[in-house]
Amino acid sequence: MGLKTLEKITAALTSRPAELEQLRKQGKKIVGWLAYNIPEEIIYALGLIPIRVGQGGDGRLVEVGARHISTKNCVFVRQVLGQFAEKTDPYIKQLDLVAIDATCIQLYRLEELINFYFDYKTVVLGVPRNFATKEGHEYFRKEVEHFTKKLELFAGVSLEQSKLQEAINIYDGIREAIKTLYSYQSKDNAPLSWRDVSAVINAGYNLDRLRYLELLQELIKEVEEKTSEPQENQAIEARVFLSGSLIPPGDTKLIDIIEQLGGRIVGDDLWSGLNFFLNLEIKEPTPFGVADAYLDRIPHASLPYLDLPTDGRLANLKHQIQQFNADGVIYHTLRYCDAFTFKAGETKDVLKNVPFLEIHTEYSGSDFEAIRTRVEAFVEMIKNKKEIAELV
Amino acid sequence: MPNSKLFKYPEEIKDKFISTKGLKFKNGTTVSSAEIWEFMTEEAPRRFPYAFDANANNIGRFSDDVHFLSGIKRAYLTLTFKDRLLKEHAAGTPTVLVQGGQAMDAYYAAGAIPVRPGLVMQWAQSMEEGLNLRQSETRGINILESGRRKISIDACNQISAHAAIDNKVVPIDLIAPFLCLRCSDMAFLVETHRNREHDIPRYMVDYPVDHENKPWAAEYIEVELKELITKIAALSGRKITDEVIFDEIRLENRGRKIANEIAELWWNAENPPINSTDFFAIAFLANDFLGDPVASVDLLEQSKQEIEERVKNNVKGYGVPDDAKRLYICGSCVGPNAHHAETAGAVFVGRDDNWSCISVLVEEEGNPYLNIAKSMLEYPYEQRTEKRAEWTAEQVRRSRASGVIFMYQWGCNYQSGVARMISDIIREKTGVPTTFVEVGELGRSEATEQSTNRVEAFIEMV
Amino acid sequence: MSLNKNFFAGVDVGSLAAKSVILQDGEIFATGLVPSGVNSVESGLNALNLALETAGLKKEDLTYIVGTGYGRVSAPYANKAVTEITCHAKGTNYLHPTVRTIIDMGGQDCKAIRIDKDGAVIDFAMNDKCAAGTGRFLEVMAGVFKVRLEDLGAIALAATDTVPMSSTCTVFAESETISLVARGEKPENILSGIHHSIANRIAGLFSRVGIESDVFFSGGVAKNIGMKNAIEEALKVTIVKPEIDPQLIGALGAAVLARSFSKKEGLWA
Repeated sequence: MGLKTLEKITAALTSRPAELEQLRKQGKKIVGWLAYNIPEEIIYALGLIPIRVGQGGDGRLVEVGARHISTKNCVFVRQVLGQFAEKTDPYIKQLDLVAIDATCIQLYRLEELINFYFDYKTVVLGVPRNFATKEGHEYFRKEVEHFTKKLELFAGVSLEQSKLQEAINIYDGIREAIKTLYSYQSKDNAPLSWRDVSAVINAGYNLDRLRYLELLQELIKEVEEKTSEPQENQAIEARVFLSGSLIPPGDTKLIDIIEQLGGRIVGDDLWSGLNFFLNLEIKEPTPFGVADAYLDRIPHASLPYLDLPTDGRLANLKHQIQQFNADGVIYHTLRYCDAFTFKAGETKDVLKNVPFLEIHTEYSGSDFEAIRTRVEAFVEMIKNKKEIAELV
Repeated sequence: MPNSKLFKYPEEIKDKFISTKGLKFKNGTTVSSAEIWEFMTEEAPRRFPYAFDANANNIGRFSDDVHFLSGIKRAYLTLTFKDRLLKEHAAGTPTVLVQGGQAMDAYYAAGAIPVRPGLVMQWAQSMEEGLNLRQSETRGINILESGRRKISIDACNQISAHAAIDNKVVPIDLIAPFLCLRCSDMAFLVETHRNREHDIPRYMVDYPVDHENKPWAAEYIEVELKELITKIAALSGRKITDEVIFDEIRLENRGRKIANEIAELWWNAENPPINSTDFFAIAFLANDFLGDPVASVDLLEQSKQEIEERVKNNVKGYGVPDDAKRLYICGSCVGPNAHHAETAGAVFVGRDDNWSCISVLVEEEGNPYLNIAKSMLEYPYEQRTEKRAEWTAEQVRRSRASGVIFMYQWGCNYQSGVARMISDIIREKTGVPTTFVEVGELGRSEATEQSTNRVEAFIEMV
Repeated sequence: MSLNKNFFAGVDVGSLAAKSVILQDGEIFATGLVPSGVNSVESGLNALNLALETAGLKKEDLTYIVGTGYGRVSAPYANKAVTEITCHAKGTNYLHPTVRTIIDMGGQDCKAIRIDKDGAVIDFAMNDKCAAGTGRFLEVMAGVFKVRLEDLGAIALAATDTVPMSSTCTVFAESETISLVARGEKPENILSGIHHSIANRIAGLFSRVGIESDVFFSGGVAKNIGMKNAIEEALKVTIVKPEIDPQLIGALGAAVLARSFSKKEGLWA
């Protein structure tokens, strides 16, 4: 669609590794992080540079990683391990510390492996599986406090409340902006595609957060000035909602296939996508306040809900499907990503009449045609349904 | 193979066997050795023919060492598990699905019988009687597949236990395991029960990552244990005081101590006094207690006496090969087939899985909940992988092992994730050769040739 | 003879075989079935030419061609490409309008398809990456036992005892099979075990989409009597007897679609 700000974001991303090199020379430290519950606000407030690491979609790196871990481990974990083994990624090679939370227990094991085999300095944040209880909150508060102390030691400064509040404001702004960018997808003719938004999110994990917020606001402004253009495309769309395991930067196989076959991705509840930005409200600028907010948002699928009616993840999924006016759900599961794979059948049950397709895959290209067939049939099924509905 | 020979205890040991002590049970009764003999030679072969299948592939095959009389009593406890559980359950004792390799003190103290997934699978298989090994295996596979159908083919075989509960093959009153770090599937599998026809209550005792003795980690578990005990007590109707819990802790600590003493005796003996099958069973007796800690501890004591006697007389356990290669087994929740390994010239000297939780005693004074929590956090198996490997390396040295096999079950993302690292560290620390093997036979009755081949090849290499 | 002289063709290029069906006036006029080669365009054309030859027609006589199967993505001879899921639904509905559930087992995947009374797909599920339960897998097994693929099912039916086997993965199943052979198990008993373990995988797919009678079994593997029996047992259903070679159903569905697409596009009235 030729949005200027998107080009600016791409340019900022291109120059970022060199910029980080400079910053490191000036004594700045970079904290790479992985998983779902690392409170970036605290890292940022301590003057450290947070970078979310980990890419997908590269079968070769998966093999490199698999030398140190089993082929029966999640393919994302294997690839990230491969990245740490090779140290050619422009961000991973510049990390001074790696922070991983124990939400996903396979990622948690990754911490031990990169520490043991590749000598990375690491820090772990425990995450309670009884996350909805008072004792779970109590535990996580202490964990975040402990995590903060470790980072203070590493940074050589103490956490100031005002600095934390500043950080929270920036992150709140980012969260709001991402939600706005997503909201365009509910329309028939969105000014930017889901893929664009996804790229914007991924860029944000690497860029300076304040600069990123400015770019997001600029992007929204640019988009809103343009959207008054008339809609031209009235063909029948298959509006696809993505759910399931994460789709990290670099993993475009499924997205490419869906788009090639005329499906339009309109939303997601991925932890690498929208979910990460939802329902996070820090009420008090302290480690305890941050801990509570992180634990109270929509949890990662690794944290079990023991009763179906209270399941906030499913409630959110149902809400988002409606919100984005989706015709069907493609539930993407990575092989050996049990957190999502084990829930596929149940999610389908819960969504009842919403067309649902599970794609169980890895990062090799060998199943490209197989996935293509499944997605194509799914798109055909949705379009047929809509055609018939239109005729009636 | 389907019609292989059935194993029989020889008549010539009968007189000696029935002259030994019987077994005391927690309900105050004693079963005499004569009654045990009768059951094991008459009733059990009729009801559970598969258990007596003499085929070397039979994973649960009894020990050949019929002169180790405690071994026969252990088989009795195993084969009466079904009857004892059903009887107690009918009388109001709640049955609880738990995680294996964990302290069971809290469950027993609260008046429940904890059943780990492996035992649920065995129990479910034994619910139909008169089956031969092949039929029993088919029954097991059918239960396993019904579970996989509902969840995923990527799941560990423990899914059978959950399917057996879902399908009401066995009566379970509460699903309330410790999560711990040994198992990557348990939390997800507990969650799946929320979408089933049954309405069995669920709870889980979360195991926080703690490698720095954080007080808040122990406090978190402490609160959870209180919740767990409250939930069980509501089902059992038992009034739980600290003293009730300490009584149980003392009993189970005794079991753990005896098991450790037996390990020391075995390791230091010139000749291994009991074979791999009998030796590995000791750890289970002191861990899950087969539904009756009183009987298990009684049996542990009797076992220790027999072993002491053998060590004194320098008797080698039947089945242990001459100049046996000493193998230490790591991983979970599977282990190699002992009969195959012994035929190939090896003997098993230890196993980090079951020995981890009995290597830590629970403190017997103070706050019982906090004490159990602290002991859980100390399990070597649950430490950072580096530390776990160091502990295992120490075990390898103490047991004078000449080789280490790390074995893990298909679907276990935890053990598979650390297999290489642990093997590397042990090799580096001890100089002993190590290997790792992935298998798919957890809960199966018959071993597969593939895993047997790998283990045998490794033994040849050692 | 009908006034409508239009001919419609469906070409289904799968991983093991290429199939074609020519329809005229709602009747199957001719069919073709050839093994797939490395070149999928050529395989499709071979199958189509075979049917044309049988029918005594030339390619130019065809009003419309729909391509399906894995070869559909490179089928320059076709007017349109449609997935085999939709085609199996249409083809089955054309022959057996009471069918609501289809099991399709082809060369490299198996599918559970639910359809409505008009043959529209309501829901479907397919095997994951693992090849257990496919024609390719059975081919490997036939290789292990050194028997012909088409004889596998009949051999399994002669079993006196079914060897229990896990359904975990082809890799496991294959090595398990080899070790069972080494252990001296009878081939028929192992094959019975293999068929039952595959049926269990199929049952897994149906736990996702559900089953409604009548049930139809299409694809090349549908000709395997041992597989049919094992599936009937696992799903507790009776499979409708096919009116034509079940391997041709996808091509038939494609031909049926060719007919409606060409009508929609105004090529005939």
